[in-house]
Parts: sequence; structure tokens; C-alpha cells
Amino acid sequence: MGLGLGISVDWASLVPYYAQVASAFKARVEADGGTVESMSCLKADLKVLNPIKPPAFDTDAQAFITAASITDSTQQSAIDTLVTDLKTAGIWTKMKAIYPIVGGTASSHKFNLKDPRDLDAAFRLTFTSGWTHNADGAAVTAKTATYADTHILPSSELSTTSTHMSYYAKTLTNGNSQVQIGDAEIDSMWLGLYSSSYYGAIANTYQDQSYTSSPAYYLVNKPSSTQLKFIIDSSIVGTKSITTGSFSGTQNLYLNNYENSTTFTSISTCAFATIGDSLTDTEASDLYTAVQAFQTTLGRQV
Amino acid sequence: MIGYKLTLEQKEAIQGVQFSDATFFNCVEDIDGVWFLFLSEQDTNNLPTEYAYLLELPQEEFVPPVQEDII
Repeated sequence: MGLGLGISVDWASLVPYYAQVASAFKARVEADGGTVESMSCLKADLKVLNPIKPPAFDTDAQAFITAASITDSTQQSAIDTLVTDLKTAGIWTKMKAIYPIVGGTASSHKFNLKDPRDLDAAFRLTFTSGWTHNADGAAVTAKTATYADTHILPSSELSTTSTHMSYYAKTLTNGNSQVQIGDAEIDSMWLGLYSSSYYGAIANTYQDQSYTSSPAYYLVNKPSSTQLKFIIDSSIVGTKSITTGSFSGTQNLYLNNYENSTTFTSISTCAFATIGDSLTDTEASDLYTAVQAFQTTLGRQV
Repeated sequence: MIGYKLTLEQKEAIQGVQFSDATFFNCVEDIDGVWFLFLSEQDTNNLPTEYAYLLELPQEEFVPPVQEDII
């Protein structure tokens, strides 16, 4: 329900609050020898006269909600819960970028939850032509050289020994040669599907893991200089030995591609993505739990 | 895959230009070095009138260049 002030209010949640205030006010008026017309009239008056109880959102959640112009109360609540869950699990500070892809438009999908300033320096997303934005996320439906630039340059922003990338695929077309997150350098940084395997590369060293392609939450984690872990949803599906490696790329990380080409465009719907420091196994599990709860609240979980 | 075929001049005029909030034109070369533009239905619906001419460009099958292997 709107007040004409650009504020959306869930009156149902405020009924107990107004009932309590109305009861206290009625008691005081009657103690002074006055009368009130009725409790229902009083409650209605209070809705106009009394300040609306502001939602107590986490300040980081509120900053994102404001920047992305999220007005839907379910989406607002989901974002707030996501932020508090990530903070409780100790994951929040490990993130360089969190893309909730919520709100249904490019204008809302572009914001980084960690730093919701509308700036490239805040690692906002900028989308090429070819995307379709809706409540499920940001979708690419054909191999059309489509991508979203994260403005994160691995050599400047990430560690060769402690990095993770994750991508929540709401939809995923089964096929080879699809990069969900990557930069332009061969082997440098990418997470994707290739030759019937699920590949992860961080700092110029890669490994692959056999898998059955399906919509899921994919995460590649480099918890040490010599180890790479593949995680699908809450399961560690592979732990591989790698060499330390180094970043050689000069291009930012992209979502749904690794360069401006059609060949490796990922035909998938991105409903969430993160880039940041490495995670412990427990943190990776907690991240999945938080993200899945977020998606379930939004009705788009897989 | 069908895309809009561009001349080099047309590509230079739009490449990287933002046409709606957070979205910019992106062109890609085919195997013969010809530039193509792909637009989603949503892009088409949100296209500012100054770029409506793009929708009148010839549409042709896109053949990608031979790609270096990713691994």
C-alpha cells in the first residue's frame, strides 16, 4: 500500500504496532477524562499521524536497496537476510563483489551489493546488448558475444593464492564451450563448461571435473597456492592439485563470457555471482545455504 | 545465428555506446571480418529512436571466426 510518498508499507505487519500504540493512547486520553470515538478510528488516524515504523534493515542492505531502487518488500527482505547471513557466517568481508541480480531490470541488476555505488570503480556490472533481464535474473539465450563487464581486473584485485568465483545458473543450456565467469587470457581465470567437463582456472592454472550439466550453484575455490576445489551447490565434487600460477590478463572478468566472442558465450541465466577471497569448506557451505535461502525467498531457486 | 550486418563506419559509430541504463552496444566480427550486432527482444523494445535505423539493417547468418582453444 502506498502513501503517495514513494514508500511502500506492509500494513499487516504494523497492525500489532498500531494496536499497541492505540491502546496506550486511549488509556491516556481516558485517564485525562476524555473519550475516543472508537479503536478502529483511532488506529486509522494513527496510520496517518504517527510516523511509520521504519524497517530495520542492515545498513549495507539498505544502501543496496536504495541504489538499486528495490521497492518490493519480499526482495527487500531477501536482500537484508542475505547480508545478515553472510555477515554472520564471516563471509561478507571476503567478498570483492556480490551480484544479487535482483529487481528484474539492467538498472537494478548492475549493482554490487558490497559497494552499491553506480561506478565502475565499485565493480558495478555493465551489460552488452543481447541480455534479457527479468525476475529470474539476467539471461543470455544465444551465442551472441554477450557479456557483463565486472570491472574487476584479476591482476589488480585478486590473489593468486586465495580466490573464489561463484555463479548461480537459474537456467543452463547443456553444451560445450560456455564460460560463466572469465577473463580474456587463456587459462588465466575462468569458470565454465568445456568438453563435457566443468572447468575452473585461477591464476593461470586450471583443472577440470566431470559433471552432468544442470542449473545449479557453481563455485571454484583456490584455498591455497596449490589446491583448487570444485563445488556444486553444497557438495565438493572435486579437489585438484595445481601450480601456484600468476595473473597475466589485462582484461576485466566478464559474466557469461571470457572475451568478446560468440564461441564461449554462456547460454544461461545468471541469478547470483560472487568474486572474492578463498573460502573455507564451511564458509562455502554457508554461502550456498545463504544464497539458496535468498533464491527460495525470491521463488527462483534451483 | 542471425545478426544485423554493419559497415565499419556503422560499427565505429555505436561500439561501446550506452543506449539504455547499464547497457551498451557490442559488435563482433565474423569469420570474414564483417561486423555484426546482436540485439535481444528487450534491447529492441528499449532502443532509443535515434538508433531505430539499426533495426532496418540487413540481417544475415553469423559465422564465427576460428577460435583459439580455451585450454
